[in-house]
Amino acid sequence: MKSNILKYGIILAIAIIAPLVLTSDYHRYLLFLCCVFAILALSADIIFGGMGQNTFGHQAFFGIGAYASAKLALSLGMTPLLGFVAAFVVCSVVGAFIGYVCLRRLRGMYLAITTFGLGAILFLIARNWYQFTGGLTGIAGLPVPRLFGFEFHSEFSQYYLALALLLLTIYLIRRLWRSRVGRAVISLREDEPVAMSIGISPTFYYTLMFALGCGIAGVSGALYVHSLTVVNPMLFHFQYMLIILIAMFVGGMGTLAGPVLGAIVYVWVSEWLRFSEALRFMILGIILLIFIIFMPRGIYPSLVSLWGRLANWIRRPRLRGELP
Amino acid sequence: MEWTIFGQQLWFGLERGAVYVLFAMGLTLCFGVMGIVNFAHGELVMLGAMGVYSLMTFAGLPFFPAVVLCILGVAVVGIILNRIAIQPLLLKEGQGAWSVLLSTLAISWILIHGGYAIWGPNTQILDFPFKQGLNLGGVSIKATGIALLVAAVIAVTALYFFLFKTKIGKIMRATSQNSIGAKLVGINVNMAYYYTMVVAAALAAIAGIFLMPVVVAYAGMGQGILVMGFAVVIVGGMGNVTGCVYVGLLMGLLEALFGQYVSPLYRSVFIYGIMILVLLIKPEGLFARR
Repeated sequence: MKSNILKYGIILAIAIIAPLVLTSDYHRYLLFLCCVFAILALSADIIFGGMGQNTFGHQAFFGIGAYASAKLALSLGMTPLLGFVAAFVVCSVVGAFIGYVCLRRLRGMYLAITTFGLGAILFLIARNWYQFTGGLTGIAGLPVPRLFGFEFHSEFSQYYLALALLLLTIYLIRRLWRSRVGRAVISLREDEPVAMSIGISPTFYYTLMFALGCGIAGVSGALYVHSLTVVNPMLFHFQYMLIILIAMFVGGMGTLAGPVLGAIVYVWVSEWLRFSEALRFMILGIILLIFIIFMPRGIYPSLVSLWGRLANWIRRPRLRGELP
Repeated sequence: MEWTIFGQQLWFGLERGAVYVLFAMGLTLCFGVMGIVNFAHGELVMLGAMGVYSLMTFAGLPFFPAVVLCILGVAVVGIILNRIAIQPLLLKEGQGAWSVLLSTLAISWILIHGGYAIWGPNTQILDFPFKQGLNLGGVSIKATGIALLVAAVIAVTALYFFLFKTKIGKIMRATSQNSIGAKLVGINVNMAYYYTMVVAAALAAIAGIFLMPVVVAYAGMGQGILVMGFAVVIVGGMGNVTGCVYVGLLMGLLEALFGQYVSPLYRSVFIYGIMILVLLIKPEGLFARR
């Protein structure tokens, strides 16, 4: 327990000190992006890693959350922090509907194709319904988040806002998996028929979790656009799904640290590859492929098991030679 | 209602439908024989279209040699795809089909952006040899469309002959019915996967070549047609080649008519919507046996 607190303390300290060390606005913006994509990847990991199901339309909720918050801020003058809550609510409701309809019967590849098609539909609607979404140019002039008169204008302050939301997300998800609902979902993931036989309804719990994942994705979308101050339908584009997949697979699915680590890796690697737009995405695709084929567990679980083996090796160096 | 417009849209729908049939047959074969969803299939279409464009424009080949070379080239890409991203994962224990879905998704991403790196983001126009057209009571029918229909009919007939009359086709059907049973009677299942990918890739290349005069060709064209292919495969029943032919034509017609009479912007949405409805109500497809 004590070592855990120390470990988390060190990580938290690094996260807090990071923008003080990296002083340029550009690097602070990258740190902010890490937080946004970490929240997004964590939200998808509820569905992929936690539920053991899949969705290839998760990027749509990034866009829906962004538009929900942006539209409320522009038409009703709602303050963006309340807009985040609104984004969560809107995305949860839409997610609950889609989740209920899809997860009632569909699993595996059928679920993948259904959600992929839904994502494509939502992207096309967002692109074509220009009266509402502003067409491909989008809508500019969104307010930045405000709290008690303080405006999160600089990259520096926006990073801390994003970090706070990321910590909140991690805390919520951690609590969630230790709760009654979380245990029910884990039992469904491990063996659906057995879990059903003791009275756990897969439709109900899966819908609940799906809605939660979508809601959190919406918050990350809202957070993202209120720092960019412009929102456009490209937020619905499939490329965000690939970012999610890279963050989850590179980091490690089904863990809390994995998607965060993966998001950090994604942001920095993609910035190193900034010199060419097409090659950048191509190389990211190659990285994803390599991880799927050679390291499907991801970096974080591999590191943990490597650390365990290393610790064993250090602790008992002579045993192997002496035992018969 | 003007009947010439209706007839014109029927013809356009037939053209599109023929492309969808060619495309979706490969997809449904992949599903039937290997039990996988191939997300990179749309990019094979893109490679077919852009490959024939490059061979004709940059290498200066005439049309027919370029087409043959391109089909062979895309078939080789299919073999490589199978070797890199499909077979190693299918042979692994555990979630084989699920990892293949993700790896083909990654391959599709690589091919799209590789395509952007090579050909740039611009749309390309091919100098198609069949320029003549005829006017059938106000309905203009281009020779490219007739060539497409002829090619589609030849390809579908050849595929039927291949699947039901040759030994390799028998191997593929046996694998699709029961891969373990096929292994037990001494069929090399891995080779069946190779045959399937070659056939599927060649069909995708033909679809891509004849798609060029119908829609604009660019490096990202595979994504749109992929969902269309999914719609055809799902509605026709996954792994069902016959259902695929009917539904492909039907989807092409529905798309063209919806685009004319309801909304041209949302015609893809309409087709995807049909797919999702079928998935939710009858996931095994409308043409399921039994």
